Amino acid sequence: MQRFSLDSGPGNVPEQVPAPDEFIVSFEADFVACVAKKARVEAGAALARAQERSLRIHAPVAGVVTDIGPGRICMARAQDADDAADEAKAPQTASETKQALDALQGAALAEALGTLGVDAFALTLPAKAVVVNALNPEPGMVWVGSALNHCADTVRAGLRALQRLSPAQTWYFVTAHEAGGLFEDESLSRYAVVRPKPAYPASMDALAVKAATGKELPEGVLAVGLHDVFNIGAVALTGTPLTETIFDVAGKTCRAAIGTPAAHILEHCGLQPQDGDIVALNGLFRGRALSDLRHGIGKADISLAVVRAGTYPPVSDAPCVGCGRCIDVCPARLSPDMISRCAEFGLFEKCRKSYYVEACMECGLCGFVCVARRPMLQYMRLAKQESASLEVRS
Amino acid sequence: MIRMWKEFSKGLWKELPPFRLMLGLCPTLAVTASANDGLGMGAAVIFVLTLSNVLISLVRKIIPQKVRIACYIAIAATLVVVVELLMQAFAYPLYQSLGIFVPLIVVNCIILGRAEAFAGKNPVHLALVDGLGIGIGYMISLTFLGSLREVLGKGTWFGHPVMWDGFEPFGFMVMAPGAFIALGLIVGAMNFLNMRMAKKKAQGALQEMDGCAACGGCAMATKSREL
Amino acid sequence: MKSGNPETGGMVPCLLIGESAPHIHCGRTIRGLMLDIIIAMLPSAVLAIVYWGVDALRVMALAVAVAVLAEAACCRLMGRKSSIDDLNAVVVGLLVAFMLPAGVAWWAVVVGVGLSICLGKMVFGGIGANPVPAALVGYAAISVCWGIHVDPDTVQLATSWSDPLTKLKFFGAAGIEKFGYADLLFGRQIGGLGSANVGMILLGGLYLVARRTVRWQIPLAFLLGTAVVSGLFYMAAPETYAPPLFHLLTGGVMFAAFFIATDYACSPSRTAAMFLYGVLGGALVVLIRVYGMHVDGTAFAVLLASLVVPYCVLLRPKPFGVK
Repeated sequence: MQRFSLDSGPGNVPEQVPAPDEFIVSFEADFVACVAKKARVEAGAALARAQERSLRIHAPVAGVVTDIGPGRICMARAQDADDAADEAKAPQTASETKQALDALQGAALAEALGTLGVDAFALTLPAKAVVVNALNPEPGMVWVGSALNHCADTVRAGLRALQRLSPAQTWYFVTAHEAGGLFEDESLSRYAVVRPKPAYPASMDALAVKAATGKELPEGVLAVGLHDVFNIGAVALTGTPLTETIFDVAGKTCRAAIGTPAAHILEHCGLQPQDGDIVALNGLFRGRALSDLRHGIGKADISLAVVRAGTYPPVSDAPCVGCGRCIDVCPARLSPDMISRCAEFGLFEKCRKSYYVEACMECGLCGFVCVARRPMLQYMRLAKQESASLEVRS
Repeated sequence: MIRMWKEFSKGLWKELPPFRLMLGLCPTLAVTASANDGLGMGAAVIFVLTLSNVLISLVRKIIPQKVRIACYIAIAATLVVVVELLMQAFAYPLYQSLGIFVPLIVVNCIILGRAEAFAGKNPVHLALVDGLGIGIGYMISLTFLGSLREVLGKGTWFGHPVMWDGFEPFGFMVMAPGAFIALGLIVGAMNFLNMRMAKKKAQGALQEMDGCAACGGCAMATKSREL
Repeated sequence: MKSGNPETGGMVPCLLIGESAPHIHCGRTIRGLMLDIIIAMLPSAVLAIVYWGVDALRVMALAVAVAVLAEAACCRLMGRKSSIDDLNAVVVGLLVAFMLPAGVAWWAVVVGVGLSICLGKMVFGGIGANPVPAALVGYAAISVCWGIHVDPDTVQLATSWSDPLTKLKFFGAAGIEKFGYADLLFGRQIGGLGSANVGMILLGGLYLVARRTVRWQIPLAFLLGTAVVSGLFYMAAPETYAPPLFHLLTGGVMFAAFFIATDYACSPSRTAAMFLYGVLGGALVVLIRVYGMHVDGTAFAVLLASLVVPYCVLLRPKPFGVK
């Protein structure tokens, strides 16, 4: 049972990924497109809006919309000289927007941020404490170090905005890195820096909250990831809509326009996937495997990795051996072996009643250690979903 | 007539008491240390079961519902005492080796089970053949299990040595663990055979249908629901 | 799952694997664990061959062969993919062989190993499903059935060594005075061909604990249970009972502690439950040795303790956030 370090050091200055020729901007089901096919859009123009809220998603560059599909808009980058004119107009509106944002608070601020492409609505809910989870989400990720050390202004802007968004009284900042420089500012003095042992799975939100407050799943505590804070900060600092994001690929932090296809990013970093490889989006422990490299990087995407074919023994439908390694590593103190066995045979009621599957943090460590190579995390997720729907029905 | 045959034959395979109905397991495990004992016990049960079924069926309309179990036990007990006395008179060695299990036939689940499930609701001639069928099925099961345990555990069959000279008997087959293991394996084998037969039947019936994979899955699913 | 649009950056279309998280693994497999166990059993196997010659090799080879064949046949009969690749059959065969004397008859080995695999493991559904250690099922069956053909005291006659536990049972504490601890440690006693080499078994066991193949709690608890209970007896009447160290170094105690009681499927996985299970097993060993008719009750002690495991595993902490 190895202990994985989440301390990635200071990290590199985020490297800019050059803009691709085609962008694929994706969004949730409740969004409607506000442009038509073949329309010409400027950089920062709204492409789609949510129906219930003021949330928008914006074009990363100036270009032409090539395709509109369910949950997805493709656009091609424009090559002409109008870009210069657009950029000249931008700073004026941007500084006005920034000043307007600085004056807002609470729900009004969330509305304004929504129009600029950041979903901050959940942060305005009543809460007693806010815990900013500034740990690298998984071992091997490095973008937290880069963000804290090289984009400190953005992070500070985000933290300040956070203080105006949430009605909480207590503020925590959970990190493994030296974040001293970050809090020299008077306006951020309310944040208490908490430094837990930087070993995975300490970066799970529930465990970060426990490190900060000392309690397990306390009421009225909001956990916010650093990536969300970073995005809020990027918008609050510049006053322009969210069109870029940072993430890491192969051990270095990159910055790319939203909608950049994964294929383009991997090529830029020199990683060519081959037959049988796995391209993991958002982490090796918890992320999903991409089946299509035309996936455009989204606002909340934090990592891209390639696992070469044959690196690890293949997953199989083997029975549980009962070795108990999963019990050793589970941070939620569950019995993943029994839950996976119950899920395998459809006993979902038992998963909830006897084995408390809803407490699972989905850290993926059970699957990491399983000697029988069972798809443990998949069983846990299945059990959670099925037992929750049984609960709803009953 | 066909009905009578049906009731009789179900006790011989489909509803074998110790292996399918799972009734009467205690004497099954205890007295089958030798084939002879198994046979004797089976004969005693046939006698008691058949006559008890007949008598209960005769009086089924008179017995009030509330006290029917007590009446069944009284009838069974009378018959068991008769069997006991007959055994003591004409088969004393058998009586000695069966020991306490002869009087325990009264509370054998088969007697009460058939009385409740069948004899109390059906006419005499059907109750008679039901009792006979189940009883003969029980005797066959016990004799089979007894033979298995005796042959492996002592090397003899009905007292005659049947294994080769250097055979070392499986000591524990004539003890309790062997009984449980043998019973478990026989039940397992019967389930396996039934599944196979159901699959073949399903295949035969479905062969006329087009486009069906005839895997026997539907037959097996029905079977597992039945079980 | 094709990918890589040739227009976006000229990537070659390739077949990506779309599996579920996690996409990273520690690298340990069942086969790896079983290999570890086999390696841990090697020192004792070698010593057994040194002491008992070809006989020991014959028994071990026959046991392994029968185990693998039996498992392959069972898999065939059950209509499932052959599982002999994970080497668990080899391990079960070797475990049974280690408990038998080197001069045991071939048919006893065949029946014992066959019962271990078929009734001890496959009938429950294969690896991970057995409620009691598979190796013990066959060993217990044949030692009850054919006592005189399987008992080391009646089989290993061509040797000057003696069985310390038989001496203890029939001659009391006076009978064991001539056994030095060095003798016991190096296996100069009559017992199972592998389980008598206590020192080598301990070495192998410590290797397994160091490699994290077995958990240290179960062997420690088992040995502790044996030592404490036998210590209590010894303190009460030193002239009748043997000292705790004697009990630890004779019979199958060391072997059971590291190799049998630690069987994955039937041992608990949480610390409190493991300790309870181990101590129970160890205590039962001593009780059977003192009060039972068996000279060495280790096999039955572990069988009994395994049956209690479903209750031991109720000792578990409340999950995260559950009041």
